[in-house]
Amino acid sequence: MAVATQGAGATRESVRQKREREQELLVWPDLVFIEFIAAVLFTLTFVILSTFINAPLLNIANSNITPNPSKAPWYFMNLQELLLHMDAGLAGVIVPTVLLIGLMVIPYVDRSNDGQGGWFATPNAIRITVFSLVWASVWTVWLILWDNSSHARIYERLPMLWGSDTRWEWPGHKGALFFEDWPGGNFLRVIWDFVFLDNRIAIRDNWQWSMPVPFQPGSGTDGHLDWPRDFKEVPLPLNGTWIWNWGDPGWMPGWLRRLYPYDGHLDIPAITAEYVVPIIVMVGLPALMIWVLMKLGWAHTVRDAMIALFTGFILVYFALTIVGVAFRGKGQNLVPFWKVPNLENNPSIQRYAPPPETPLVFADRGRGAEGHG
Amino acid sequence: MARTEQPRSPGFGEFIYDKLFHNYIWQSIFRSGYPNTPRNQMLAIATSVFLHLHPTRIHKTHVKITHTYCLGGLSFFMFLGLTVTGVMLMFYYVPSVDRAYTDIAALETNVQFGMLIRNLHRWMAHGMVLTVLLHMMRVFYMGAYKPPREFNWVVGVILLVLTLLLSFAGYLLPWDQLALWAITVGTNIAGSAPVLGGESRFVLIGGFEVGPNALIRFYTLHVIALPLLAAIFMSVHFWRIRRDGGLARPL
Repeated sequence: MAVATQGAGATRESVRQKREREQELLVWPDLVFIEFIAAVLFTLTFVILSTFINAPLLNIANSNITPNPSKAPWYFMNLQELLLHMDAGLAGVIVPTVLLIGLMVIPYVDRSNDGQGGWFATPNAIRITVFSLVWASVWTVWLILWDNSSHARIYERLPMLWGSDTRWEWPGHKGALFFEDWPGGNFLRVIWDFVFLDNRIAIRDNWQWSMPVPFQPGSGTDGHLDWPRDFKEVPLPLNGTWIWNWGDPGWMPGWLRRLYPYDGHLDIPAITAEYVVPIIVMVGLPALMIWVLMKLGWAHTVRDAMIALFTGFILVYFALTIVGVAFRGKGQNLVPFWKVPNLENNPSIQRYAPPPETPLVFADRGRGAEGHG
Repeated sequence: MARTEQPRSPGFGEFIYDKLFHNYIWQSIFRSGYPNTPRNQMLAIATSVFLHLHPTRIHKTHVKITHTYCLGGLSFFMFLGLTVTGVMLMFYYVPSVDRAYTDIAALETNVQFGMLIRNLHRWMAHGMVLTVLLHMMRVFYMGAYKPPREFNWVVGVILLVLTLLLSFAGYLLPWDQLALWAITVGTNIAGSAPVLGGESRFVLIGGFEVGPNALIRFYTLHVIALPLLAAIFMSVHFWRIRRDGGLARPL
């Protein structure tokens, strides 16, 4: 069936497999009995599970008392985790949409019939999968720790390992450095600060540099272009307040008014931290992984690339879920799993246990009022 | 081979068999006795409204558990279980802010096996999300999305989304703090979409915060709209398995 590598449609009939009668079994009884046994086993399993583990029911919904942390259902915790690392629109809508479309187009990109119908049936499938698992888990953990400034904090506390009370200073926090007097030293310092950034938001807030320029459009006239100050209010072309001034287009219908950025400005440092850096990471690391796999001589075909990408996606999906569920405590701070508050022990939302004589009274307004402060 | 067609021996087993399968009522329902010839076994599949989704014969590799781990079938099994327990829960549940929470609490304390039904519904819902994800992984690592099964993979991705949405919509219904705030977080994520985020969130929860309108919307989505959509896509999914030549196996 070598013809199957051509496009879908043309070879529709030729890729259907011939069936040998002697290799076939009858569905009754060989398949339906397996199905029946599986159904019985899983019914029993779930009945036993449901006998011993109760579904949670906390106190009645109260929009005045916000549990801390508030968490989405577990299968959306990966999106909630992403929200902590980039703009909400990117994390909550654009990334999942792109991923779902990406999943759907897999068969239209990888049209070969290599390895069809067997577990990891292409030559390097298993080692590509393992490589992708390691690659994705190392980077995911590192990026979460990095965005949490953990690298700087761990570095500062390293002397505690050998019982010393001193703390090292994170290179990005140091005052004047020895090379700053050299020619080009200022430029080196900017690079140095970038390499030793605390986290992603520090690009917007803490990273600073200044560059002399002959003229300056927009804000500031000090002859220097300063990051981030001079980049926070960059006017959009034709925004009606820059170069050409025209009034607020109140004559536009509301929907058009929303699409037209009157007086629109771009906050470049924020866009860098919230969009550019996350997108570079999310596109660049998978691309780098494929490149490394090709350099190693493991990945040759589209199927190999798909295995690497899909495995990475699955790993990140579950890794972010685990981090979100088990390592995010109050204020979505990164904490060890034993410090994540158990919602059922939270006095503001814990399950109201009705006393036996009044089983259906749920008067908790008084208790709710305590939680307001 | 055709044992039933032979003159019956007077043994006790034959007597029981005859009384069980050759009586007027049994034959009015199943038309024939227990299918113990290849022809009758194929007919048992092909003529049954419940079983005719199966082919009458399959390749022998497909009955090995490790070929599929039954993951797709288990997802469907969970869906059926959720439908049954969900209907039972609907007997006791009114989707209004005044009653939703007390109905669930009463279900747990005042209804025989109420807690068991609710637990079954919840754990099967989580189980279905898991089996659907694992099913997708099985299909991927087996290359079972390859021609001619491309479109069925797309249908599968749609079913994955529907499964997540079904579970998410059901999350609000107990109307406790866990439900309210999980849905608030979840719909805030939807609301962060560029351009139409606020509008889509407003449509989803029928207001600016999760309240009575959100409850009735999520209830309607959960008990009719999404299950119906899922059932339609599942029908297509299963039908396409047959049309695309059964399960994938090495070429």
